[in-house]
Amino acid sequence: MVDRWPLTGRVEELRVISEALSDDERQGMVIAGEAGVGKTRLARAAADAATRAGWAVHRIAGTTTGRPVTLGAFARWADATDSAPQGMTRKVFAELTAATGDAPLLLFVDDAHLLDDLSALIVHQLVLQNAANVITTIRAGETTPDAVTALWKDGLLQRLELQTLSHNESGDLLRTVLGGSVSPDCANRMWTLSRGNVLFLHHLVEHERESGRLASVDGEWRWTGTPSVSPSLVELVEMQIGAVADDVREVVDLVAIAEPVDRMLLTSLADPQAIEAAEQRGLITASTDVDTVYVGHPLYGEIRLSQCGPMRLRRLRGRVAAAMAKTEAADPLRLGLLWLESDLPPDVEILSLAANISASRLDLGLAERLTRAALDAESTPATKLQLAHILYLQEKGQAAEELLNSLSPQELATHNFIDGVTLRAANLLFPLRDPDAFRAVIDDAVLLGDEARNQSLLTFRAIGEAMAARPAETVETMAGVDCGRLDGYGRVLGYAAETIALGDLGRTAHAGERAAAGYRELVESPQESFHASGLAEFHAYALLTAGYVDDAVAIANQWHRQYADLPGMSLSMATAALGMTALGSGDLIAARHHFDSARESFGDYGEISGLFYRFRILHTEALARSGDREAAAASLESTRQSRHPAYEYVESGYLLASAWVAAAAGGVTEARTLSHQAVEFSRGHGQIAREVLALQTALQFGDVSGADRLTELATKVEGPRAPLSARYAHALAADDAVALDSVSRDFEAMGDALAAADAAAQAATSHRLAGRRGSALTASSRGHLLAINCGGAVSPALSAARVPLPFTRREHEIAKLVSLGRSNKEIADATTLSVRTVEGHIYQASAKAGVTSRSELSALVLQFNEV
Amino acid sequence: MTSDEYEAALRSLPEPHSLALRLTDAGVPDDVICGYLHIEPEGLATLLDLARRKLHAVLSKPPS
Repeated sequence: MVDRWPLTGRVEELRVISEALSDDERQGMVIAGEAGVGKTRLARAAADAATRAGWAVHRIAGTTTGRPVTLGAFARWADATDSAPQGMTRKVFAELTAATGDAPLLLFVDDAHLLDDLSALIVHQLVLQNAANVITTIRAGETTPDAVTALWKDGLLQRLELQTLSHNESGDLLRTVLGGSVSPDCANRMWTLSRGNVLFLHHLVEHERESGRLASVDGEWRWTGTPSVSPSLVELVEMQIGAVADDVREVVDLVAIAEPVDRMLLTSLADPQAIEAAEQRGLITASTDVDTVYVGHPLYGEIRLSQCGPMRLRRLRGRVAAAMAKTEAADPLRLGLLWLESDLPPDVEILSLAANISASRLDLGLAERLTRAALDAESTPATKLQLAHILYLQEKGQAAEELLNSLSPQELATHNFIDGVTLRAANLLFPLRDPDAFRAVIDDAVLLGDEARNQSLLTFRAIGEAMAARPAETVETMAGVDCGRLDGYGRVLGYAAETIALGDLGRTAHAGERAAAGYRELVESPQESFHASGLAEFHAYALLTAGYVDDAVAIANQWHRQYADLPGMSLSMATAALGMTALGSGDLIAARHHFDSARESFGDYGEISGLFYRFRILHTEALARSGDREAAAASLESTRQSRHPAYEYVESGYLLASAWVAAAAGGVTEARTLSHQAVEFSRGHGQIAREVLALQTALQFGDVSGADRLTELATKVEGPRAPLSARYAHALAADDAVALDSVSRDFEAMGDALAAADAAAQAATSHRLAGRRGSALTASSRGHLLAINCGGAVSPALSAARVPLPFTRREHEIAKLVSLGRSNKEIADATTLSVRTVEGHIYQASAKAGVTSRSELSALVLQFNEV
Repeated sequence: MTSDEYEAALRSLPEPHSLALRLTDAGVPDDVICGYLHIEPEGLATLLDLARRKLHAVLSKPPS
C-alpha cells in the first residue's frame, strides 16, 4: 500500500543513487534507515529508473522466515541439487549474468539484513568481482551479515542514511494522497505524530479515514480525531491489521510464514478474494518480475509472527508445506525446513533431501536437525548413515561411531565411494585419531571380497598409507586399483594419495601426472572442493621438495585464485598452501601473513581432525626462521599439543620445525640432533625427497655427515634440490668457500633464498678463516642481504658470518664518499683533509677489506650499506 | 540571500539534514555528528551531500 503512495521529497536521493550507479569508484548504494522510512519505496523507484536507463534489474529480498534457508534468496537461480557451495555459487553467478545480454546487471536486494549468510556472500562477491551493481536496503540498528556490512565498510557501496520527511514534505505527501488541500491543523498534528515516517503516516491516514475522523469538509481535509496517547508505529500497524477480516489476516500469515510464496501456491491455500483484499490493502505485495508474493512491509510479517501462537504457526507451516510438496518448483530446503517445524507427520524423503542440501551448503546444524527428524520418523540404515555423515562433518566422532557401530557390515556397505565402512574408517582416522582402528576397519571390509567394492576400500587404504608415511605401500596399493571403477570423488582422493606418495618418493614427474589427472577429473565432475583442494597442495609440496620452487609457487597461486571468490574451507586451505610455498621460496613475511590469515579463517573447525596441523608446523618454522623466538616457541608448543597421529607423513617437517626453533634460541647442537631425527624418520619411511630436505637443513646447521647419502640420493630424487644439496655438502665438508659461493647462487636461482643466504654466510666464514678478508666481507654482505630480502631471516650460519667492516670512523666516512662516486679532491674538500691524507685512508681501508681497486671498495661499501 | 532566508531554508529541511549542516558549519568533528544523528560514519558524507542538495533546492525555489 505504501508502494502505491506517490514518492515525494526524494528527488535528491534518487539523483544521488543514480550518480552512484554511474560512479566508477563505487558500485551502488546501501539505503539504511529505520522501519517505515521508505527505503524499499525509494530503492524500487531507483531500480525502475535504472531499468528505463538500460540496466537489467533482478530483485531478491531477505525475509525473517527465509533467513535460516541457506542460499534461499537466490533459490530460483540455484540448483535444487545437493552440489557444493562453490559450484552452486558459480551457477548463480552464471545464471544471473547470462540473462542480461549486453545490459549491465543491477541487483536490487531488499532487506539485506535478513539475508542468509551464503546469499549475503554472493551479493558481496557479485560486487567485489564487478559482476553487478547493487542497490540494497537495510534496517538501521539490525544485526547484518558480515558480507553485507563489508559492502559499505570496505567502500564497495555508498551508504545513504535515509531520513524521515520534513514537515513540508509530509504536508506535500498528504495533499497528494488525499487529492486536495489539507487543513494546517491536520497537517501539523499528523506530522507531530508521524515525525515524517511514511509508513506511520500511511497507517494513520488509512485508519482515520476509515473511521470517518479524517474527512473532506468544504474542499479541505480535516482531522477531528485525537489519539489519547500517541501510538508507536508497531501499535498503529497492529491496530490496522487487527481490524481486517480474518480471512485476509490469514493470507498475511500464510505469506509471512514462508515468504516469498509462489502466487499459485497461495491461491491454492486461500480464497482469491481474500488474497486480492490483502493485496489491495498493501498487506501483501507481488514481485513484478517473478510471480512471488511478499508481505507488504517486513514489519507486518514481524508483527503477525509475534502474534501467532506456536500451535497456529505449526499449523500454518503445515498447510504451506503440504501444498508446496505437491508442486515441482518448490525449493526442497525451504520445504524441508517448513515441514520440520510444522504439525505434519515427518516425511523421511522430504527431510532427508533437505538435510543433504543443507549439509552440502555447510549448514551442518540444520542438516543434523533435519536428519534427526527423519531418523525419528523411520530408523533405517540409510538415515543412520546420513546422520553419521553429518556428525562426522561436525567432528562429533564418538556419536558418529556409536551410530555406525549399530549397523551390520552388510548395512554399512553400499556401492558409493563414501559408505558406512569408509565413513567409519574416516571417522576413526580423523575425529577419533585412531589409525590402527582405521586400518582394521578397511582390512576387515576388504576381506569380505566384493571386488567392485574393494576398489574404493583399497583407495581408502592408500590414503591411510600415504598419511602414515608409507609412500611405497601407497603406490603399490594404488597399482591394484582400477581407477575407472571408482566414482569421480574416489578417483580424486586416489590421485591425491598418489601425489603425496610419489612426491615423497622423489618421483616428481609422476606426482605431477597424478595431480594433473586429478585436476582433469575435477573439471569434468567438480567434487566437493575442500577434498579436492588437497591435490594442488600436495602437488606444490612435491615440487618444493624437488627444488622446482617457482612451479610450486605458481601452482599454489593458481589454486588460491580458483577459490579466492568464496570464503570457506577451500580458501583457508589454499591460503595456507600459499604460506607453504612462500616459506619454501624464502618469503617469510608473506608466509607468516598467509598462515595467520588461514589460521584465523579456519577458526576452531578442524581442530579435532587435525586439518591445520601440517600448516601449524610450517608456521612454526616460519616464525623461528624470522627470529621471533617467543612466538616460535609458543607455536611449537601448540603444534605439539595438536599433534595428530593420522598425519605421520609430516613428522620430519615437525622435527625440522623443532630444529629451527632450537636454533633460533641458540641451541645449534639440539638443532642438529633434531634435523638428524628428521633425516632418520624420513629415511626409515622411504620418504627420500623429504630426507633430502632434512639433510639440506642439517647442512645449514653445519652438519656435513650426510654428504655421501646426498650423493646417493642425487641419483634417486628428481629435481635440482638433491644434486645441489650434494654439492653443498661436499663444498661445506671441504671448506671450499668458492664452491659454497657457487652453491649459494644456485640455491638463489632455484628459488630457495633461505638456503642461499645460509650457504653465502658459510662461504663468508670459510673465506674469513682462510684469511680472504675481502671475499669474506663480500660473501657475508651477500648472505645478509639475502636474509633481509627474505623478511629478516636469522640462522646460526648467518650469525657466525656477521662481520662488520673493520674500518676506523674516518675510513668509514671516506669509503662511503668513495662509494658515492666522489673524487679524492671532492672528498678532501668535504672532510677538510688533504688529498694525500684521503689517499692514505682509502689505501688503509682497501687493505683491511682485502680489495685491490677503488671500484671493489665502492661495491663492498654499497653492499654493506644495503645490509 | 539574507541570513533569515538561509535560516528558514535550513528549518524546512528534514531535521537530521539541517542538524548535520549546522554541526558541520560549527566545526563539530565527524564522529560526534554521527553520534548525534545515530548514523554510521560511512554514511555521513552522503548525508551532508544530500543536505546541501536539498538546501540548494529550497533556496533556488522561487518564493510562493
